[in-house]
Amino acid sequence: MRLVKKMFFEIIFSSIALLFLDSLLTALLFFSLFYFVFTFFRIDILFAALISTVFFLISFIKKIRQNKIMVLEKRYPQLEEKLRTSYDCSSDDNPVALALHTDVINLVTNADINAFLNSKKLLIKVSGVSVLLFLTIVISAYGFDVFRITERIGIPIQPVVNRIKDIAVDISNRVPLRQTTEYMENGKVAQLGDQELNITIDTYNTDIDINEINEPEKNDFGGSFPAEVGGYAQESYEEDISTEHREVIKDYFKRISR
Amino acid sequence: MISLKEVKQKIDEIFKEMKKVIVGQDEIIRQIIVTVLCDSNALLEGYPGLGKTLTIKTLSELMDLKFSRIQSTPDLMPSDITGTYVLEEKGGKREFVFHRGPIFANVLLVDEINRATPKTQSALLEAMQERQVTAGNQTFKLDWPFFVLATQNPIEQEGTYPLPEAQSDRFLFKIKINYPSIEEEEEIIDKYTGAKSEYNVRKVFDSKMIEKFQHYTRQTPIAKDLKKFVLKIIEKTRTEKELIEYGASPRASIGLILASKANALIDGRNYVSKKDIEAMAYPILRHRIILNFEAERKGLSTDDAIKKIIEKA
Repeated sequence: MRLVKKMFFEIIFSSIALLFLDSLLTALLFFSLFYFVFTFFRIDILFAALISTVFFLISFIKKIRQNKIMVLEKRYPQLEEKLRTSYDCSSDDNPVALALHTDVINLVTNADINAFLNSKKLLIKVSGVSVLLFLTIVISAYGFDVFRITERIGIPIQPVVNRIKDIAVDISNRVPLRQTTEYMENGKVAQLGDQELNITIDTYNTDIDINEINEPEKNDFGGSFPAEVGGYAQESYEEDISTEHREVIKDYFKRISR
Repeated sequence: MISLKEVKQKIDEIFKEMKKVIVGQDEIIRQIIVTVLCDSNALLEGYPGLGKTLTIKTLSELMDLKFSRIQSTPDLMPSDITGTYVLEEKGGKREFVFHRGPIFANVLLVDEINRATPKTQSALLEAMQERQVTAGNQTFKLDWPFFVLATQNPIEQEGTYPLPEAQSDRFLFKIKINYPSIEEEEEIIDKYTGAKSEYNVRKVFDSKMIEKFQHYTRQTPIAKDLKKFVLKIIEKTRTEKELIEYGASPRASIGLILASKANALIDGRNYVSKKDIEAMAYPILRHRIILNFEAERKGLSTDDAIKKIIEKA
């Protein structure tokens, strides 16, 4: 009875270890795939690591929750129904139960380890990781990425990507979108005479279309304003000014009229 | 330690000896052996002349068990089954001596139990439950092992007293006996119309071996998910109102698990399989569920209803 309990402890411990390695290998495969794709698009490796970590956690937790005894029975048909019965009745030590435990121990001892591992899937995953990482190294070494390729074929997308990045940074630097406070801290943007005008600008509904971004148009004010602006005296008068002062005054007016 | 091969060997010997006398009816013999291993009782339903009495008598012979038979009639009294006090003279003194009835046997065959009056049925069923008989102010323990195999005729129901459900629930199985196939009937004709028409069987079992095998039956392990499967089946009999008016009691759950264990042991297995439960569900539940009007209107039998329940469980 003690032996069968020890056997089940080892089975469960080993299957948890195998599940951990399997989930890790699958996560590594995903990491390699995303790393390859992100390298091609010049996206930070951190995102690939983040995605594969999340996948690993979800996959491992899901696999851990499965009934490991049932999973083993499916992979090794000779143990079908026997293994779970022996596991559920591992504390029973009557002659019939002991006979069952003995049978199960013999079957498990003689079981091929390949029955618990899918060798084909393992090979595919390891090969996949190796190939993807190799390709990633190659494209990094030669500098192959989507921007170089598009430039070579005449579709520049780097400026567009840069513009998108700028807009994103600009938006993130601004006041939070759904602001309830006033735009310029002081709501009084303009004051007309004695009237106070309160204006609140809601930036949330502002649409920025990058296709319409270009140099600002020059405003033509030609029709509204005169070409020259000058001043001249419409009337004049003589004052009783002494002769020696008249020259000085004439000279003064000439100067200011220049 | 038990060798399951030896258990299977013994069971195979029973079948081999039975085949000397009985043609076909393998499933009936198996279910009767399961009844013995579960230390319980069974109700056999079949048309006359199908070998019910011969089967049970042969089985009791090869198990070295004392056999007695009661033919039920409407005038059968309880004392005809249990026994009665008789005034006897011994050494000049007269005293009442209890004369044991046919119930004091190991295997009791009660033919056409539905012909006996409810009072007589109750006396028998009480003895089945308590394994003892009370006469006057004395109690007499019945022999061990003790099995009651009662038969019912599905035709000629007029003037009979059908067993109420509460009483029929005490029987582990309701075994249905059908007509033999053409080939089997040919074999029967050859066997029983030739020069030799009587066959002897050798003793294969004894009461000690029966006791040991009954212990092994109870010790046979069963997985938790299979126990839940059994509980689901019984629960479905109570909740499946589209087919069933009244469902099975917890006695059915106990009976189904025990019967499945016995069935596994007969097959030489030391664990219960799902197939054991599915096979044993029919004789366990047949007499424990009552179909509703809609199911009867559609012409469904209890076996059809049980099949649907198993599929849904």
